[in-house]
Amino acid sequence: MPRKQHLFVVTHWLLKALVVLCFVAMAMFGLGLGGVVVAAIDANHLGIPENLEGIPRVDALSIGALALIGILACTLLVLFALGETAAIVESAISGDPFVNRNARRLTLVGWLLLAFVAVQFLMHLTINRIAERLAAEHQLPADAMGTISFDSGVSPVALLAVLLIFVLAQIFRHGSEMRSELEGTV
Amino acid sequence: MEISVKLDDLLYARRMTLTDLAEKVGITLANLSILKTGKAKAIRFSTLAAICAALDCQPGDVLAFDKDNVSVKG
Repeated sequence: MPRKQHLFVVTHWLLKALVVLCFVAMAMFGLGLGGVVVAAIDANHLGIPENLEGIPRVDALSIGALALIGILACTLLVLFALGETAAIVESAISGDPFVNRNARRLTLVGWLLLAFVAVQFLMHLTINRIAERLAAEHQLPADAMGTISFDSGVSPVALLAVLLIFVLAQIFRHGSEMRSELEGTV
Repeated sequence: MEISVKLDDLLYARRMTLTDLAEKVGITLANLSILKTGKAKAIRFSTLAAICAALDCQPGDVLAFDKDNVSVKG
């Protein structure tokens, strides 16, 4: 097997492992979300105090639920992106990667990662707003706000990666067109 | 397509079969058949030269331009 084939095979296995990890993570976050919902419904029975380190129980549970929903959405987007990438690598293993379908897959991966960045940004914005409101309303100490702050802003590297994926998709599309033209050359 | 291939006429005039031509030119019968039926998107100069050598003709004898069938590309 040529060295580049080894690279594709190893990458394919790695992607498949990451897909499994995503499923496990989603199950865990789903259980966590379920737990938060149950805690919100039956808080008194479960003995959850009204105030959690100075933050009202309802607000703390809302932030928890919001964070978990965001993380679940992000994991789902990554799961789809990994699946599409695995399909591209699979076509590379079979020796025919320059097809229009792969260009479409790459474009989809680009959109999925852009959605990931958007969800991350929205989560960051929403949770920090809630944290700021709570800190102002309840006159919490500065460190209390730090404990509920969800610090994961948009990284310029992620945006650059998304841009690169879109460029790569365009190159793939051009490559597949050239390939089909070459196939008709006698 | 606006370019048509006149291999049929040339082969008939020279009493040759497509298989004979494929052997002389050194390309597969399948590819030559694609060329003959007008399904080819492009032809290499080397293939055209080999066909012209085998059939003792000029490129203009093999290919013809049909101006009524022009498709303009943007």
